[in-house]
Amino acid sequence: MTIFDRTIGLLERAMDLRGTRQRIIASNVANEETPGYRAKEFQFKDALSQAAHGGSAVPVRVTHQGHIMPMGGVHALGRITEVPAADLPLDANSVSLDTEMAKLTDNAMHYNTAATVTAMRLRQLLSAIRDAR
Amino acid sequence: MDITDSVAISVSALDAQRRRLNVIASNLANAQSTHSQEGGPYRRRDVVFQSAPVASPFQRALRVSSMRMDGPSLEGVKVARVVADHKPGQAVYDPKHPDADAKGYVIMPNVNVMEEMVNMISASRAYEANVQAIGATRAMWSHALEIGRS
Repeated sequence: MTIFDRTIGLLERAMDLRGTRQRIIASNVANEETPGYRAKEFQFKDALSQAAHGGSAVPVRVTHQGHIMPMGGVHALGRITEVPAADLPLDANSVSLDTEMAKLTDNAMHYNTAATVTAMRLRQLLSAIRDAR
Repeated sequence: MDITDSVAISVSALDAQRRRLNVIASNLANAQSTHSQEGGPYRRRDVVFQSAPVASPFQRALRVSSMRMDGPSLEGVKVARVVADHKPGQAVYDPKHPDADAKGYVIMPNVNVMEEMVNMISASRAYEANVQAIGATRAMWSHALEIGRS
């Protein structure tokens, strides 16, 4: 029995991955007009579902009695893929600004939701602790 | 740290787009300049964008241990160089002009005002898009800070 259950760990992982995705989207928006640039996409569905099932992306072993197994591992690994330039325009840049802006909003909303839920969860714990006095 | 990186990336784009606007402003200002320092009429200039890593080598070295992804690295953008456009300018018949040639023609700068205006709008939209990106990142950051508040 722990105070911080799997939910907190999962939310933390979600925020971590969303933070990385934000960076990738910012990079795509910044390079919207760079010739030859390929838009990048961050895949983290696998990493997140692994986190949800308590698996760790980096295998952890207990080799000493003083070691503690991490709750659901701490290394959330995503994968960056490149979007090919579909119709090869003159400068062969595969960034679509509308798509990136939509992704930006979507990603920020998800991140903010995770942050708010984490705060709520911690407040719940806090009120449980305070009421026990 | 992830989130400060996204701001740095967006800032690199703001910088690059602002430089591009400077070049456009120079082109528009010199749309009628038949004299230039290199001799001959003004030649329109254009910027070449290039993707470039935003972190300093020191920052990168520090971050290696905490990298959480594989695949191609993330990059900001910079103005690699400013190039002169060598397409010929229009010849206008104006024998009284001091820069007129023997036949009375003056070579005007190769600046197309319409084209520059379109580029200007494109640059300012790109600038806005990056400001939006910074705004979204800022909102994420402040939401994350809310977690610690009880």
